[in-house]
Amino acid sequence: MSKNGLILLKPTTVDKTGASSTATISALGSVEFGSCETLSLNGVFTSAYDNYMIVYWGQAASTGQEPVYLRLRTGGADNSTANSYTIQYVFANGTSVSGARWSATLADFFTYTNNSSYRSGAIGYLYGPSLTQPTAMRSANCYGVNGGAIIDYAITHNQSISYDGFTFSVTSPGISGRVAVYGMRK
Amino acid sequence: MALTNGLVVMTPSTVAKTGASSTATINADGSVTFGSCETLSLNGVFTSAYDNYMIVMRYVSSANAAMQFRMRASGVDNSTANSYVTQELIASSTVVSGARTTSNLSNVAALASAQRSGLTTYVYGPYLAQPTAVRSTTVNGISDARLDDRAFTHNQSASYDGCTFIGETYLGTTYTLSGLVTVFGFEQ
Repeated sequence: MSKNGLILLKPTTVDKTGASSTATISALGSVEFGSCETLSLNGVFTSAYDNYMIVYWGQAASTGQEPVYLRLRTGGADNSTANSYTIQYVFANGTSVSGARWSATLADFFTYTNNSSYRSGAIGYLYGPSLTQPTAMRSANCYGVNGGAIIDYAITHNQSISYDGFTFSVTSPGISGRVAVYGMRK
Repeated sequence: MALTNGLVVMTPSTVAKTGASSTATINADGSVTFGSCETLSLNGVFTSAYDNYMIVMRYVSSANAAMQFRMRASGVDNSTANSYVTQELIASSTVVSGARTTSNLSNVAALASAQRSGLTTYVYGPYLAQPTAVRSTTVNGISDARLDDRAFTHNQSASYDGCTFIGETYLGTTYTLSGLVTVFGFEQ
């Protein structure tokens, strides 16, 4: 018997900030958002799945570019513990390839630009966010700067907390796009 | 509560191909088996039902070369000059390098003849009448194993229903592709 291996998950609620911001949960579960400076998806991580995939595309209408930050979230509150997110990234931009590692209260996760000619899109993986253990994350981005660049992030979050959601944040004036969360059957 | 299937197989409405002795068959499960193709076009795989897609392919080639890619609508590839900007990141043994090219097509992956290669390519918004972003991660059989990633954007605000994979023409020879490819839509 075959089973569906990837399940589209529907947030229980979404929260957002930003002037004229919008965020709509589709009938099946993806979230279409507009002009959001923060966007929170609540109730997407549960005990039903250990690991998750997030698919995203986004763009800013006017100013701003990279990155889209992520914080894990539980009970409607973001976790901003100092130095709890450690981020390793690799950036391929033309012939320049570079990397860096740092720790912060939030993680760089996805990317966006305000260039209307170049969409940014990315896929992210979260390993064990609903378990009361540290969480690992990974993303692979098509970053629409200079026509196209590669940015990948590998992230750990050292708090042994069970999370049910996450928050994306960017600098004003916000971004528009779509995000969907999928659970991987275990 | 019913579970919502997250990945939906997009069965091509038709396929097109070129190349002497080339073959391409749409399988009952929606995948496409192809052999000795200089070009392989998948039509009708991008629709208004989904924003984002994943393409999974195993492949071998007649020689080490590049696999190229164009967006396609109503059976016609988009070859607009300088509309595809491609960033590559290659890791081969201890050498890591990058490059960016602008062209009328994108190099989506490298081709290898000795070992099997595999790609997983994510296509963001091809059916939307907006620019398209693509990200490709591959294991490449050149030197037995090479990490070979691409990110590319296509700046035309056109709605595409398909794509074409192209074997690179190098020094007068067009290299061919053989393998199996499946396109999935991300339910939304």
